[in-house]
Amino acid sequence: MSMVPAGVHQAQLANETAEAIRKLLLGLTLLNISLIVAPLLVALPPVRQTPGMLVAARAAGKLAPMMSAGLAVIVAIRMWQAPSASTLAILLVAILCAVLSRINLMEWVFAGVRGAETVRIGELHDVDDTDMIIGVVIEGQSRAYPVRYLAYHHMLNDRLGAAALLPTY
Amino acid sequence: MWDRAVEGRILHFHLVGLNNQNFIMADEETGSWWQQISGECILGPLKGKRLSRISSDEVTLATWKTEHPESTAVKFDSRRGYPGSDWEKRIERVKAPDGAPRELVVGVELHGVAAAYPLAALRERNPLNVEVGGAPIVFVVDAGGNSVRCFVRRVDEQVLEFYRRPEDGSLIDSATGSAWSFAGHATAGKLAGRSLEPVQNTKDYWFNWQRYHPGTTLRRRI
Repeated sequence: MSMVPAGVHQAQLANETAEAIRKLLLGLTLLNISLIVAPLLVALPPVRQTPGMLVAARAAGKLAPMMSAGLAVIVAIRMWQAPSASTLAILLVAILCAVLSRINLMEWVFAGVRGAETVRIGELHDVDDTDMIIGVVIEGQSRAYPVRYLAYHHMLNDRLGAAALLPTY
Repeated sequence: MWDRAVEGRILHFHLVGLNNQNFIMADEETGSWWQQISGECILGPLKGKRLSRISSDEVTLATWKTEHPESTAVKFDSRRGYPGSDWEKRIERVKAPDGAPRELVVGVELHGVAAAYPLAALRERNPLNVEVGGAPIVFVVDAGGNSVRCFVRRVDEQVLEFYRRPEDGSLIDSATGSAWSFAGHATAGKLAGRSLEPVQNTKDYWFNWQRYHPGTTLRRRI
């Protein structure tokens, strides 16, 4: 009858626990990545989006920033308790996720714009006379949005007089 | 053109996705998702709400400058690379989702009835006198062939029919012989000084218009 010293058991147990934690963190990181990637895949132009896909994409987009931040904190604590190369790698990915989940990649790809300068129509030299514009008149004030501008930025949060306008294209 | 005021609150929008080649926008105030082409809120706290349309006009810069010399205009951001004037021709070479060629149409909605006319047909039959949803309307295309306007062709209780005077191409109504501008104002004749009521019309690709106005018939034979 051989006796295994109690210390060996404990070391083995600690090893198994560390491995389980590492797997758990890795799993959560993969889940986190999918929360960020899924909405982007759903938004690809060739995809024929269904209502269910849009619900999932919106939910993932809402969840991703919270989950990413939480995960980054947990992994950072783990890194502090038990530093290792694999935990460091997971930490870097978690931080990257936390950053990406806060950037609107759609806006970046489709050149979203936060505001615009206006000029008198006679001083507009960006487009030709034969180019199209979208024009609006609000209580006697009028404004033109070059279609080439809207085709690039797709929309603009604008104000004209008392009205809050959203020209889109 | 949408009104950003919804139930007394002004919303700020940004792009969040695509739904069958039409953009989805989110508002920063509630995070709800809105369909760009229909103005309908499809997901989130404001689901079911609709943005109100503000009537706008898609015309050439030359036309707008003449009609609104006091207008302001949005300037290009010099750090960006905007598409050239020929961008629409390049897009036309990309097939629609169903594989068919992209066809530009002009759509209107009157009294719950949606109708669309191929832009090419409107250029050929200019002006075009029709009825949509029981309302007599007329489509007019400017000399450049790109600006389309639509008006209710009725003054007081009189329904008008429009044609081009062969001598100079002026827009004339056959009832009174008055001459009308592209802006829908009578400039000479018995009705001088009167204006036609504009009808909001949208230039769009047929596949896109059809998706959000499923009951529409495309009126090719006009």
